[in-house]
Amino acid sequence: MPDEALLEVNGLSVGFATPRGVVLAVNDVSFTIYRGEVFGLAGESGSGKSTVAHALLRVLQGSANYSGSVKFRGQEVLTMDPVRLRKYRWADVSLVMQGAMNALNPVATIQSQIVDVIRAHTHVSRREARAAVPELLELVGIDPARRRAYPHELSGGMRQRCVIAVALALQPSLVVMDEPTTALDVVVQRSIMDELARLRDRLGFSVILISHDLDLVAERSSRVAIMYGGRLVEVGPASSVVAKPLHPYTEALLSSSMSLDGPVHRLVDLPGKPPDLIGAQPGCAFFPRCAKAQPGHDLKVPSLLEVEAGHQVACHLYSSAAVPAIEAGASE
Amino acid sequence: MSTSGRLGPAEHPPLLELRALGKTFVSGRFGNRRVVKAVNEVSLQVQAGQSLGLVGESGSGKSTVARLIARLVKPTVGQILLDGRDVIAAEPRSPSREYRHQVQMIFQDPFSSLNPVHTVGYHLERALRIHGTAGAEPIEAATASLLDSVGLSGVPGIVSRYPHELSGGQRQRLAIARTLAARPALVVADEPTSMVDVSVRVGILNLLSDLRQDRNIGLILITHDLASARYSTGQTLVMYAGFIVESGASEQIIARPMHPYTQLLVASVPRRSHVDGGGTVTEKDRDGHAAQGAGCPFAPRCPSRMSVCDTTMPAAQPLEGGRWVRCHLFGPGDAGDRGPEPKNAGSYQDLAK
Amino acid sequence: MKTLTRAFALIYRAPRLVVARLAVSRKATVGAALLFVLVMMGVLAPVIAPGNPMAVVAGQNLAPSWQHLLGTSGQGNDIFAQVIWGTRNSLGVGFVTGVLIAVVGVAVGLCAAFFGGVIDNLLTLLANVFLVIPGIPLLIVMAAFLPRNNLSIILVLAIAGWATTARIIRSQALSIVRRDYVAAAIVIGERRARVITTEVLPNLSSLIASVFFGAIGYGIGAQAALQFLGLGSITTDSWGSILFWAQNNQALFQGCWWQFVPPGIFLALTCAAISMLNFAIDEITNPRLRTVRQRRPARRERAALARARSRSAGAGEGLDFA
Repeated sequence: MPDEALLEVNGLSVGFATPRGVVLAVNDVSFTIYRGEVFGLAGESGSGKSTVAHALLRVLQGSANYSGSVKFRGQEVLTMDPVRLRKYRWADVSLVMQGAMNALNPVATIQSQIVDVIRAHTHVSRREARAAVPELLELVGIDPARRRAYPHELSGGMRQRCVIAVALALQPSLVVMDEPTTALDVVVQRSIMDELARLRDRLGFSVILISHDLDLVAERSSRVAIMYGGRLVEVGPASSVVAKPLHPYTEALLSSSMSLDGPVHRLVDLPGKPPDLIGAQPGCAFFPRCAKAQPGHDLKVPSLLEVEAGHQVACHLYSSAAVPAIEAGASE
Repeated sequence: MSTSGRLGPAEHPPLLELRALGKTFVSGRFGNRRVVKAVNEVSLQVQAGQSLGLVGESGSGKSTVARLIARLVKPTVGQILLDGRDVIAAEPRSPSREYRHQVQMIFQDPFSSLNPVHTVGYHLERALRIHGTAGAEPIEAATASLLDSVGLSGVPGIVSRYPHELSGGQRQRLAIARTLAARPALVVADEPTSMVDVSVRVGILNLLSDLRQDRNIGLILITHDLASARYSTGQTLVMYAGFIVESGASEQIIARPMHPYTQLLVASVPRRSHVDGGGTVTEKDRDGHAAQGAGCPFAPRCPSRMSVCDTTMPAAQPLEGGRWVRCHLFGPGDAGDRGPEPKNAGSYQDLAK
Repeated sequence: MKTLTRAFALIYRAPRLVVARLAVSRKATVGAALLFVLVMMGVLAPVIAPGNPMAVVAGQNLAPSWQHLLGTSGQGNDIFAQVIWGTRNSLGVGFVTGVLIAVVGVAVGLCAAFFGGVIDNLLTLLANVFLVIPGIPLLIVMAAFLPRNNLSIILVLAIAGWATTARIIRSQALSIVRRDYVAAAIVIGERRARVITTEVLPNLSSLIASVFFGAIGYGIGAQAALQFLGLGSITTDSWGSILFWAQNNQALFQGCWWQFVPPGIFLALTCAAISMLNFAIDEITNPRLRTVRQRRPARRERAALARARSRSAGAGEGLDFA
């Protein structure tokens, strides 16, 4: 269903200059985020998903080089001037970074941390900012009476809720969450994700949910994208990506992870190692580990092609059976 | 994949037995004392070649149990019996080399369980030398064969590499190789896969399982991941606030959890089959769940809470199929033929489908 | 004993990489070069300034000239000779003091951290006592009662200065002792002495190097202070004693700058060299302290990046950087 396109990412590439060469952490990634949806981004460590998250807000370290385009409501983010960028960050798009709950300032109360964030991106007075805190805390399920607590006095789950409160402080349209529940127990994880769902219903923001936990991403997202070696290899509705994975990597990932469903039988893990991101491989990045690899797949990089409605894959196995490239998001 | 884990009639004593083991940590002083009962009345048995899973969340005491078994901390109460021998009574101050030879441990974080200033070869060499397990073989050959048994022989020049040059999965395999060098009878693995990449986890668990079967080692797998426990162990014990609240065959416990906490755990695990939402388990966050007072520690969160739950800790109630549970919902005389619905309404069970 | 030598071997193995890195750091090269020059100055003293530096060679308070490069003292000694020869005592005492402080401080700090409990409490109490006592007065009081020789000075300085090192080592050792690899070593069956020397100690090597240099700097400076106050041996020749005699001679009032400026400069240079080496070691061991080299990669690297990406995109579009 055609909703307003909030964020359009086109051909985004991020490279880091290192002594060993240029590391292409993100390689020609394109996708679109619509209003009110949860977009899951799954992949292992080193797949580039965290780099994508940081690139969307341009918070990568100085040695990063961006190319391509990231458009938020039509405005190009990668070339935004600092004034507009400051408004964009947090008021339009905010970011919950990996391990953020451990990055709360240990010597500041959570109230003052929320106030800091509000005042960093807007021009309200300290008093006004402080007045907004109790409501914000209640929004995420924390008793407002605890606003003068220090981070170490709160449990892991509550700290993560604080971080989410900080991310929502300026009511952004899009929240990018990078492994938001990885360090938390499964029960706390569920309560946080449920809370997030309630907040989405109430405030209507979109979410990019990044995680290596395919089950979590599949359960909570409407669309799922799989990343490998800095590239997007598969995008589609969560149900079809999980039920009928097209890309051999997705298939391998799903079949090598343990779950509570189905019979218990011996699983086989993926052979080989993730690709070296230095320089550029001429062909498909998954070729060395692919069970269905065929000669010639290592010569050209497969582009993202739409195979079924809304379900795209970048794999040479489908290049003949698919309609030529439609950029992600321009489907009808 | 999983052994049945039947305890069966023992002709000889179990490899490891814990009897009512307890550990209390006291910190602070002069009015600021904090008493934390990390482990309470923990009893379990492991046979050679058997795999036992210990499942719980942070604060459940499972890591403390691991450290108690590895004798890194001293128990406050209770007994540890190795091959029927009470080791605490025999060696109260520090464990003998023999104990270290028999019982080994794999740590959670592969990045910090290997000393960054020592090479791969050094780590293995020390273990071999301490226990003299290389025998007549030269050390290099023994090291090579250890690396081969954990699947690291394909890495060129690995013996002179340092830990930081290896990936997380490789480090964990090295840690496993190190414990194998001691030729242990029992290995305690404290969350061996939680800090390792997802795609590598299955490989590590498969390796542990193969080694267990090949060498008839007893394996205690400590994890917060129910799916790992189901995949890798025959028997599972569920821990909460230092107590073991449920025990039984791994698949059974997950398919038909009896204790409300186990039901909550099973219902909370994200499942790809629940695309677009999944059940909602409404639970306010708690600041830790240490056992205070005399009643069941889960009572404050339990949807089936009764008045007796606040005053008495339930005793272990045996159910059919070798299972047992510590919950007042199951009184004596219940054969466990009760279905998924416990006495009172409001269970998490419905959401576990 | 065997474990101790093994431990030292390990410590020295780790710095092999450090030395390689040091060669790249500018601070380290300058500091090391400076220190080398100073040490050579002391070693080659008989060559550079032959003769007895304490001998009366000329008139008093002569300004610098070609015969006496740094003039003469109030007693008629050649200042230049005194400064050159004084290097031996100043650096020597400083070095030995540094070694003593490092050894005692490391031993105490390590044991306190590893054993914990009562031992930790006792050792920390001991260190705190010595920390609380003010340094210079302690030095003065001790020096006043002990015989006036180098050994006394070394002892006095070490007693006054070991506690800081012990505290520093202890706090870092505490964090190391809690790491899993120490527990793993214990579980694998290593004896405690071996765990301390082969598992914990090597991880402290950079900190030990750092406090070692700091202790040497302290030794040199404090010894100069003691000599200046006249509490050291009057007959030895060191930078501090030159200052003592200059003070005695009212050199400032008399305008005889050559009697106190040169020893002061050399003291400062030595301490600067040691500080530079210290900073360099910090930078090597803590990568976060390294100054970030460049914001944007060099043009060559940007071109490489563009080439890499266009190659992988398959098309030759001229993609530019934002």
